[in-house]
Amino acid sequence: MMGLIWSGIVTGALYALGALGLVLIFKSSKVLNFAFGNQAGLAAFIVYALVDSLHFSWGASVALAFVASIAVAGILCVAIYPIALKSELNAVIASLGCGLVLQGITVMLFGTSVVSLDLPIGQGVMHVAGFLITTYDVLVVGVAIALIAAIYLLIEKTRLGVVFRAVSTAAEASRISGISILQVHLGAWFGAALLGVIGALLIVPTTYLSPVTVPTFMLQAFVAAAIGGFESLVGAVLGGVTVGILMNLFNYYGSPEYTNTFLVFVVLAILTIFPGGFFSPRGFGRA
Amino acid sequence: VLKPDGRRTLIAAPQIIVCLALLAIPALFGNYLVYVAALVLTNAVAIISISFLLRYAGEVSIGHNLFMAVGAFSVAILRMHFSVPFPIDLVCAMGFSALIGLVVAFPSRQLSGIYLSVATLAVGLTVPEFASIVNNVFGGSQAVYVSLPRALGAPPIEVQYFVALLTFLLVVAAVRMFRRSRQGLALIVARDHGRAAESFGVSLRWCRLSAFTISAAIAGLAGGAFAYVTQSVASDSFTFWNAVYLLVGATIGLRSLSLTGSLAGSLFITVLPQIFAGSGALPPILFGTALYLCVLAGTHWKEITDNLLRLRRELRP
Repeated sequence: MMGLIWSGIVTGALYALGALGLVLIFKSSKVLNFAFGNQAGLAAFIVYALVDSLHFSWGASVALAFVASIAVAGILCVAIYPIALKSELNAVIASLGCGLVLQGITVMLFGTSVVSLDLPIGQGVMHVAGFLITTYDVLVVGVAIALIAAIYLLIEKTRLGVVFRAVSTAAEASRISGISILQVHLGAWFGAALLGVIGALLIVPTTYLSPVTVPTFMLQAFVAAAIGGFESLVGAVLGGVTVGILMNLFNYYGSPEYTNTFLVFVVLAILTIFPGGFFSPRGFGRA
Repeated sequence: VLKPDGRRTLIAAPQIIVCLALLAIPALFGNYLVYVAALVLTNAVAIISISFLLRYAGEVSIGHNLFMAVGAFSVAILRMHFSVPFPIDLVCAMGFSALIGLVVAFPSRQLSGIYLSVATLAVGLTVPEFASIVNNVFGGSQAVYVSLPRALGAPPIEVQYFVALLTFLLVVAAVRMFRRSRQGLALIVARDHGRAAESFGVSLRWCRLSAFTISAAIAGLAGGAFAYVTQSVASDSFTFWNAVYLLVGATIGLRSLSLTGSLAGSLFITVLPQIFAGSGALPPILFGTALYLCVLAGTHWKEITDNLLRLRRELRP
């Protein structure tokens, strides 16, 4: 039981990273970015190509992938910005369009091949209190906690965070106070893109890398973000961990064949009780 | 925005021409083209279901692949195991998908906007599991085959085509009549002026529920017709990306519920992948670009036309 919950937390941490990226984007620019999974998937393929074909070092490849995904995020942010100002729903459709384009570009550059991409870490295993913990698990949870803490500190304790919160709560008023809205949006999209790349690199070792694996995994992050409420960063983390643990428990006690059906019931049940997610703006709006 | 009713007759001249052209297709073209045309018709029905939801509820669904799958599997199973004859199996398919639509819509009747979109996304992801449930209950492996009705000795391709055409024309006519019905007006008032609708005694939740259920029913009908056309039903035909493609078609067709609008959107999403069958990369790029440009044009129509007018004034000597 504890082991199940632990592995649920590991998966949940990955969902939480994805959901956190989505919420960062949503809070700043009111766009539910359906291209997010494709952005992350493209970055993972870039790392793969650099490491595997061009024999770059891991650090250099990841740094280049960061640069590339920031560039892509910048383009998407500027492309969707004018639409998002007019209508939330049209921005959703536009981001789906951008996701399709990125999907096509990924296939065009890297083909539909299925490859594997492992992290440069050992296969260590520890026994703690009667259940197994791998190095991979520790890395995932450690990275997730570090990133979540960093984002929390950034938003709550720095001037940058004040600006972000200002734009998020009252865009028009912050524009009048001399804040460049587009710059804040770009910052949020860049941050989210980095989260996406890190999330993708951590996801891929558990399965394999194809043009659809990362986007498909990220679709669950949307569900996690919805459960937590798109307005809340705390909600994103909680939603991710909730989805991770519940799906893992269901896989063990229920039947793993019907995980997605189970997830639909969970989502509909939670959203019926909390129509705006756990942390709807009326309750705990801030972080 | 829908035009006022007064100027519309039930059938106008362009529609008659398109109808006649559609009727003539099997006589004019070879089997492959007739097959593609039949696919265009079924996709047009599916696009109408998405446009219907966009127009009457203002909601985006990316989970309609499930309702299509329900319709398609219903037709396949009903024909194979229960020998249900032709029009009745399609009606049943519509009923089943409406029922599933109701099951999904009832708990999400308070949701709107992005929360509903994500809920439909989760719903759409269950298609492979739905297919495996069907296969477990009725036996069978991945794909279920669909037998065609023997109609007056007509060749199979014509039966496939005319089932699709009949479904399409009936759906277009029904949606057109719905626009003038009390329920249709209620949905539009509820969408545009929620408070006013409530003060007239129209329940907003009921409106959401009915719009979603009707849309699911239309998608189920599209799935049923799809089963007739392709003659084999498998969950691969109803992925998340298929649902997104339907949204592309609906947006390209300017969310139109009409004969020509839905056909235009459907032509785009059906024919392009056939042309670029060799390349998996081009259709998504073209679809995505078209989707983005349509939305951009839709939200910034006034700015674009204003700028074009200014440009013309400046260019004129």
